[in-house]
Amino acid sequence: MSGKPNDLPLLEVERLVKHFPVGQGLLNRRAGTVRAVDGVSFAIGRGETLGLVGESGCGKSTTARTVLRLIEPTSGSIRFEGREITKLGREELRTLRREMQIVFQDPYASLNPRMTVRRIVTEPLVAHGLYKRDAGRKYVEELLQRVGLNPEHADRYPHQFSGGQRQRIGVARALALRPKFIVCDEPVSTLDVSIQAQIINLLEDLQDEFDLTYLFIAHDLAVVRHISDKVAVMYLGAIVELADKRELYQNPLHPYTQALLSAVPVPDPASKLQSERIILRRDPPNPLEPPKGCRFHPRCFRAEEVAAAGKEESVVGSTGHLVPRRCAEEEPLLGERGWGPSHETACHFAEERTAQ
Amino acid sequence: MSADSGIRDRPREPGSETKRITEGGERLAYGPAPVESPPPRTSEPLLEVTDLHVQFETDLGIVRAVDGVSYAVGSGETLAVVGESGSGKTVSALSVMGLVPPPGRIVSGSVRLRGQDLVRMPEAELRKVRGRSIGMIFQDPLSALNPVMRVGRQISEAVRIHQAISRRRAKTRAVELLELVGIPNPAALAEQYPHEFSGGMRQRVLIAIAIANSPSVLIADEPTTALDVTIQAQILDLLKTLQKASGMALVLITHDFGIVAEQADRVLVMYAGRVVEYAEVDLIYKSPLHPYTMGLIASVPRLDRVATERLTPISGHPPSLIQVPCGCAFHPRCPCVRELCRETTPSLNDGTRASHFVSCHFAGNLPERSPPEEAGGFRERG
Repeated sequence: MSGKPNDLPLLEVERLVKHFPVGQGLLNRRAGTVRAVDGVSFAIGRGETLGLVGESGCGKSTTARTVLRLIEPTSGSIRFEGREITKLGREELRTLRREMQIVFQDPYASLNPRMTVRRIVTEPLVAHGLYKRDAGRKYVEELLQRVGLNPEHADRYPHQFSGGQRQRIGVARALALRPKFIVCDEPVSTLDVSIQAQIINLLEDLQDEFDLTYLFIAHDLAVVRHISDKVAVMYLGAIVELADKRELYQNPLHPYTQALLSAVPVPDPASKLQSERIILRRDPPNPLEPPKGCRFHPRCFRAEEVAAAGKEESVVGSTGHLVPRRCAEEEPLLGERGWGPSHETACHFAEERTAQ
Repeated sequence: MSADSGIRDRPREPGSETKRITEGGERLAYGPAPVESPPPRTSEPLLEVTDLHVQFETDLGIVRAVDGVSYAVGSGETLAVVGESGSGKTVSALSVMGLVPPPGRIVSGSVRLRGQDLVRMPEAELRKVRGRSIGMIFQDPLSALNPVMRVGRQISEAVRIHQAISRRRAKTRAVELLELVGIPNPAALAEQYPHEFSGGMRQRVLIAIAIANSPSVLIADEPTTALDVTIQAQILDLLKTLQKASGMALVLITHDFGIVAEQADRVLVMYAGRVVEYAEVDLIYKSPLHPYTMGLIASVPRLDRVATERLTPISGHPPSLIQVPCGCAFHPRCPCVRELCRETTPSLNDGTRASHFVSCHFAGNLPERSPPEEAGGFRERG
């Protein structure tokens, strides 16, 4: 162990790649590769929350599962407390799993309907040989109490609970081994609005109490802003912007982040923000055939503005519009642009942000 | 406007469509019909639902999915129906279409389209209304489309059911409709199957089917819940454009108060099968009267506000419709609950101001918050 463990990020991910082969037809010929995660790097400090946002299919869940090695990475490095975990063997990995847990999106699908709540929460303890009969019983009841469930209901089955309560069960299970790191994969997106806030508050309280580090995945940008310290925006397998929360929301540099933020409906009929909506053209591209150059350029309004301004050498892009040659041919990398180390973006024209 | 011409920063005209309608003085005349006496109207609403009751008889008891819901929508208007899962918003929409699945049935009440009662209409006639005068869009665009039928064919089928036109004309019409909803290269894509379409494109196809016969009322049940925010923005924009062009009335079912603020003229908030608040959209946000509405608006983190340290959730969880709490159904979760709330069910009344209907004993002068039952706002019931 290093002398000052607190200076070291708890989790460091570098150039993480996960490609899935895609078969087609009867003989399952290899038809292509989905580059679900395509060179993702980030770090999370102890006690911090990194929010990972992006639209469906952008690779955020795959990233999280690869970090936990629930999915084997194709390449790249994952260091947990400074230790490389991509090469760990079965037994070492098992020990590591005590430190890393996950709360799933759907509390209806992620709890075994034939197990009582007690068994669901006990299972991780038993699996790691940590369950002792009397103390264990008491421990599980305390845990249930802590996540806001009535310990007297420990012998009930998941179907006897509402969605919000089931998610509390999922949280208790993740917490049972007292992990250091929890991946929260869209933990509130299937819950009713009035319940979401309960679970978010619970996750925040537990973070303070147990000094937890979260990787918080969500597509709801307001929820992510609320809970995160840093936020990473993913698009088609890559992080396009990574910044401290305040920076990212006040000063988005990547056109995709700007579009995403502006697309969130504002619950105020008198709001002026409504009129500043950026409506992106087209749908996200097919991940089997990602665009060359910048992965966002076929939908990018800034690329067109820059091309229209005529200062950059431009070409006709795959969509038939004029775009800067650099956007169409050269992939922008995270960290090359941006405002200092706490704000990085993968856009060739990050400075061209149109002033509002 | 097609999606492909959607460019950023397109300023909306000041006082855009929604505003213009809400500010008209005569519109205030459509209140919901309170159970006792409906208010007088200056003009006939297009769609009027009055005291609708829908029940499901199950082994566990009678589920009152919709329990006395009334509302009216006029031409060109958007009514948002807001509520959480199980609040009865979808069932109330299905009953307008005469599509309540068994064992559910409409027990009482009426659904009038231009004065004609759809509840008492024979199925054969209702079929002519469904898809022709009233269109519907469902939440999940994949399960609502036929996976083994080409997209264009599904649209032309919708046209040919109601209009006596040739196959070829219907096919042309399908391509026109696809273009109208912003599908690029519509002639080629009409020959494809739903699985070849993305979620946003499928929802556009569903919209094309729903508007194929230029309905006067469109019911959209959570039309964007399954979609990403950038696609949601496209679809909502499309709905607004279509509505503006055709004067269609829109009943928009959603749980997202952000969407409500942007799309709706009036808002109906439902809880446990009943209407708890019904008012102009501006009133709902500026001065909500029901504690549930207040709670819903307050519990969501917002991008347009300074981030708060802590969210203020509504405690407890939505009730089971088999055992709806007695008195006011919201009382177990209400921060201001009083003895009266536990015993007497409040009726929907015009609150402190005109056309702001609320069903709360203390609307307008809520007592101070009762002491919270438990830290963390959690309470186990049943």
